[in-house]
Amino acid sequence: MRTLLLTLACVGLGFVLAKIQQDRRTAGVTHLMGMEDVKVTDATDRSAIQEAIDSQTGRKVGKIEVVNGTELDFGMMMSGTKRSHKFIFKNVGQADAKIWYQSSTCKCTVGKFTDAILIPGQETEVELEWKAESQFDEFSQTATIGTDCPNQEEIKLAIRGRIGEAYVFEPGQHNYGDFYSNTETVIPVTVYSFEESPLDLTSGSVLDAVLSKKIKVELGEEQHLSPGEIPDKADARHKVDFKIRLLPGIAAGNVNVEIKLARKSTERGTSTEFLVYNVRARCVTPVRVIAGNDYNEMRNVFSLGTAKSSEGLKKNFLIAIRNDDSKGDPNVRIGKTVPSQLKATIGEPKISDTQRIYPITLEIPPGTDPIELDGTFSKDFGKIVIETDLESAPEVPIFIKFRITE
Amino acid sequence: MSFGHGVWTRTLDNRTEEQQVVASAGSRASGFDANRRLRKPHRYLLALFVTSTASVGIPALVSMADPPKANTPSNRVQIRFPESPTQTAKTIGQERLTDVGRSTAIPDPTAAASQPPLNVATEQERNQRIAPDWKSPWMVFYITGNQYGYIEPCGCTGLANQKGGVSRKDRLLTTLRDRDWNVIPIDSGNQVRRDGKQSEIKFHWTAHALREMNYAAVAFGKEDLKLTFDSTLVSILDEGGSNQMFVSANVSLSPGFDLRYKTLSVKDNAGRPHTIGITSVFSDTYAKEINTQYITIEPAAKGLGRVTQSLTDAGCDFKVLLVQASLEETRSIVQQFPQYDLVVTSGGLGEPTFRPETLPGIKTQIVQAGTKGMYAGIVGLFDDATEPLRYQRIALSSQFEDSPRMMALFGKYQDELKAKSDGNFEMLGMRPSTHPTEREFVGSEKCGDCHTTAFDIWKNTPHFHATESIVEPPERTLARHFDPECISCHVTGWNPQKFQPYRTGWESLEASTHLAGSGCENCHGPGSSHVAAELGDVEADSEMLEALRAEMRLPLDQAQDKCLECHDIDNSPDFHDEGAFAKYWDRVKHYGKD
Repeated sequence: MRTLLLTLACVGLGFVLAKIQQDRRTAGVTHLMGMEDVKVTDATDRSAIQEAIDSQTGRKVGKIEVVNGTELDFGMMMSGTKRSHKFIFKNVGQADAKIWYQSSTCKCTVGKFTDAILIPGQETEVELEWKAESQFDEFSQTATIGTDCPNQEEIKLAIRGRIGEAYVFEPGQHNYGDFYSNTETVIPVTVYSFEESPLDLTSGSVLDAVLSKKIKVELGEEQHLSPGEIPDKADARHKVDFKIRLLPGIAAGNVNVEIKLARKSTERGTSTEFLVYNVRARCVTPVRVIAGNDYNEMRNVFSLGTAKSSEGLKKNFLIAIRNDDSKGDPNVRIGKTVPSQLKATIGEPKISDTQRIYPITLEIPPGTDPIELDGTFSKDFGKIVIETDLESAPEVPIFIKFRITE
Repeated sequence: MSFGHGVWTRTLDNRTEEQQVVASAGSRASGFDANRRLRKPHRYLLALFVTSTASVGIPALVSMADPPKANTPSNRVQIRFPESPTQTAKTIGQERLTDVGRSTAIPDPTAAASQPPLNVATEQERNQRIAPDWKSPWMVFYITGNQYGYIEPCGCTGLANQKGGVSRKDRLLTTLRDRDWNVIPIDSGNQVRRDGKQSEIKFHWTAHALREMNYAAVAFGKEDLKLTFDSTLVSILDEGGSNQMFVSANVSLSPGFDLRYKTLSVKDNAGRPHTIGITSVFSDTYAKEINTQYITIEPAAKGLGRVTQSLTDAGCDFKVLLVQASLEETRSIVQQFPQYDLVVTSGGLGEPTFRPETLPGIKTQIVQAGTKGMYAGIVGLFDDATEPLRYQRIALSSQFEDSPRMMALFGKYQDELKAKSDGNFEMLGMRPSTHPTEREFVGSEKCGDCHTTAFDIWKNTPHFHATESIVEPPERTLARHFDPECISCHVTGWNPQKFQPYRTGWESLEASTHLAGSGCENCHGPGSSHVAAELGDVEADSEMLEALRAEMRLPLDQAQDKCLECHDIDNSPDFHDEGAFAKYWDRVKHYGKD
């Protein structure tokens, strides 16, 4: 009998150990799919279960607690500066706990360290140091510490914050969005300086030979700021408002230019120091063609493709009209198509709060005789004309290139 | 951002000084060729040699599984354990337990490395066993997210060292499907990390790839919604012009194209029917950063409340929620909507947690997507009352070979970049900008006319070969010289961090032979004024000549910042070691005129 009990105890212990080993490979969960009879297991419950198992088996285990938390927000750090933080690891379990450096997802290098075994009640420090150098304003870095404690395979430490520069633009260097080619658009921007010395901006110019004729920069007066005057930029000392004017006549397409703000310099009386502000936006027409990579916005050419006569061609694209530009239904329709083999149909619009989107289908029916309008020369294009009731765009031509072979 | 930067840095980065000696002893060829000699097989052999000699008193070297230069302190994130803990902790010996040849590499915490690895794939991550103890799951969710534009493994530290990439993502997915499992891929969003035309093209092809992999549901990422509305809309539509994959409870691009949720009808192994409901929700905090010119974003609770009810009404007995939010906001959403069984969040820092997170009293399992697409996760559902759900985090390491169909798509992406950038990058929204100095580029050979020694030194550095290394990459041979994210650091006359050409900077292989390689002017600035003055093409007195010379000088104490423009943390992590600059500088050291 005693042998039988011993055997059963060993088998039971074997199952427990096997379960623990399995948990190390894949993490199991014991409550799902409406199985109400099974207890919910969260991190705490899991530990409780483990403790119960350990209690039954008489096994004492270590348990690591990061006393001062596993995450820290460094807040704003000036570029190039360093900060560090010590995470305090404590063994709150009943047996020795082994910890070691496991990995870091930032691909940052790590320093010399010594693995450690913490006896129960013992503490040690793990220090993370961060130097603020990143192409992105926000940073976050992690380091993973491994432990040999049951159900505590990893402890992830994290630091995060924002990288500040001596100058901050508001709005930040983001995409302005769409603007119209036939109207003037003004983008107001403010530059804040965190230096004691004034900004002394002398001029603003556009670093693009073509667009410099269509984009103008107007600088405002410099203002001195008291500490805390701008709540979210408490350390800012100076600011200058300036306006970027996008004049009518900019060609449709993406705009990506740099605005150079020159500062007064005493060196040989020339401006040798400058700040650069990036402006990204897109110039659109009232009727937008939404056709992805098949559409060359700059040339207003849609690529229908190439196919054999027996197969024909068929592609969809969209056109969009803002509700602000149309009082009521703009009555979008297909005007004409060239050549006659090119068929165009327009579907029901999808109407949102801001715009109407019309599906357009272009088709060269199977069996059409070979034809080559592949845009090689200026006349080698087909064309469809979209007609609308918009005063600003009664007719919108779109050039089509395609090829039908034998 | 992610493609093939600095092939030469890859090989330099991952060698110890001793390895470099071995490499150079074998060849007196150019730096580029010499570096190429240390590609994978050689390095493995070397690693074994190094490991075996370490025990006989040769100074501690590291194997491939070890972090390169692991014993040097870092100037980035640095981990320090005190020599002894606050009280009297025992110190473990420095023996390394990595077994290079071991095939069973499920992480055994007690056998982990005693040396901290860099963020490159560890030996264990290259030899993972995928769900070895999963017997017949009736459904497996394949979890990805936060790709951030890294459609190839990130960085330039060698493919074997890198994690992530669409191609490996597909390979792992295929491997799982080959087990005859019912695999449902879902993604928490953020396919790109910045806006602009190239990112729009990348998003388009990534969406194409996700459709080809038959993803069931993909959330809109914060970065995805910063692309132009038009490009995002057209990219989420399939060939039939409908959206079957991008789901959101609270983001609307346009009625008629929105997909609020998806339901799937499946049977478990016992034949019991289940209805799976999947949706996603977009953070209220992130919504403030999105241009809502055309996009409508409802408050998360409002949109999700409506959809959750719809999922309940549809009889879903397993609900999945993709959350595009910080981890803190995700937890808050889970507390408000505890009906979900599985939540995949884009939040959380660094790698995904080892286990799903749960909140007290709530059944929901929260799984993180990780960062830069370096990890995937699998969640299996089982007919097992004691363990109905299991999770495994999987590093997308070189263990997973390239997927041919994804490489073909990547080729199309490169083809499109070529079509839109051939000789003129305007179609990529990159009109060349004037250099901030307003000077023009002349090419390194002009510099070499006077600075002969410096020029000769440069010609024997990997910088000289920078362009050829993207025309004929040593790994994944697809040329990248139409890809601005690669070009910007591999030619002369581009803005490295903005991936944008300067006026008179490199345009193409044919038109810009004088600007091939990472030339003098990338660090010293465009030389037109200086050259014109020195050659007498413009009138300049001695004071002006000296002033123009001064403009071209780059003091050593300022050089490091200039180097970091290309040797950034993604593409040249070893450059960020303490003292690394001095070592790198030693390889390219040059001073002024002869």
